[in-house]
Amino acid sequence: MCSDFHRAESGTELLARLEGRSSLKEIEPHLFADEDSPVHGEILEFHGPEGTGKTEMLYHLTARCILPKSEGGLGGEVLFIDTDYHFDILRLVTVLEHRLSESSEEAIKHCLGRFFLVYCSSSTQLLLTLYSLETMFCSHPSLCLLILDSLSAFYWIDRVNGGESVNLQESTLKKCSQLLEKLVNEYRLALFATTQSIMQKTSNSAEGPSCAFNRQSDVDVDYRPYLCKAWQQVVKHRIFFSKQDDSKTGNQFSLVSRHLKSNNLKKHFFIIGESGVEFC
Amino acid sequence: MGVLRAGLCPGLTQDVVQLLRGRGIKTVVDLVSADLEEVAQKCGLSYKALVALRRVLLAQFSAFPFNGADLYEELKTSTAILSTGIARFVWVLGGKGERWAFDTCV
Repeated sequence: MCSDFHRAESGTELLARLEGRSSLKEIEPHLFADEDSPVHGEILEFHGPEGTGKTEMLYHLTARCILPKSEGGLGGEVLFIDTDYHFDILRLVTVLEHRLSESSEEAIKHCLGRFFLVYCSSSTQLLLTLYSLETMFCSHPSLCLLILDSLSAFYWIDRVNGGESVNLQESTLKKCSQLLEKLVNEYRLALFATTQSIMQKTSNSAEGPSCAFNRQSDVDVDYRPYLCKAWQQVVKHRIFFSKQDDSKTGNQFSLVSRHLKSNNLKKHFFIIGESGVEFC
Repeated sequence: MGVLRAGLCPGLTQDVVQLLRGRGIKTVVDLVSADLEEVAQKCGLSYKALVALRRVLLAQFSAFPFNGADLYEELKTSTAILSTGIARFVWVLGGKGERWAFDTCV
């Protein structure tokens, strides 16, 4: 349906659209300044148990995106889809206040004007919302970042609703994954989606991709894929979050970033302060 | 939310529902994700009517995006911050349209 919008788009609008969606290499140099760093058109998954900093990282990336260029941000727009209903605007405002050189109400409101929030209460509503958001992507050329917190929120509900058939259980999420890939490619967005670690890694796993991954590095990652294959196939970059339990390191978090094509692994440490995520 | 039935939204009559069902389009998701040109041809329905129907269904069943500035304005008008004098943290309680934030500063 939005192909009608494409045909009606003028040359300047097209350029604005392409130029407006600037490279996300600038969004967080610590995470993305590699040769295979994600640019627009990529899908990244933040995976980890509760309390490991995934949502804080999303606030950090959101802040970096919506801050104006004069303050070191991208001046871009962000669409945040919240399926857990735990988005905290006060927290985002606090992060922005600490990062703006002049944290006036005007400046904060100006940044927040570039932020959009959608709540979804079921996987069907998520799917229908993604269809309806297509017009928004068309009409907002500087919308470059799509955030989904979290994609696994409806996993058990979908399993129950699908009955005995695995196909039925996974069908809505499969459609969501395919539609997300299409939207991300067509509108040159970057998608950051979080998933909870709700499955334990099978002990003594002699086969499977997770085991091969662990053997390759000295990084211990507790990962067992449980979402549908369609989602596993569209993810280009997976980032595993964990909290350091060491008393010496205190309140430190770590993440292991893995580029799925090149199998490149990188480990980073960060703490979460008043101003949000700070890399160590 | 799901199954297409007469009266679900304006423009969705029993005839339309039957014609769509005859082509395997039974739910809102089926219709929204279908190729409407193909559906119009196969069901003998007007393409414009189908596009309008799709738009109405999406408006009805999808979630609406809120702008951050509006959310912040709403929060400011419906939140009161009270000092309690204990260790520093902010605790936001939900109420019926009102929110109370307890800002406890040392």
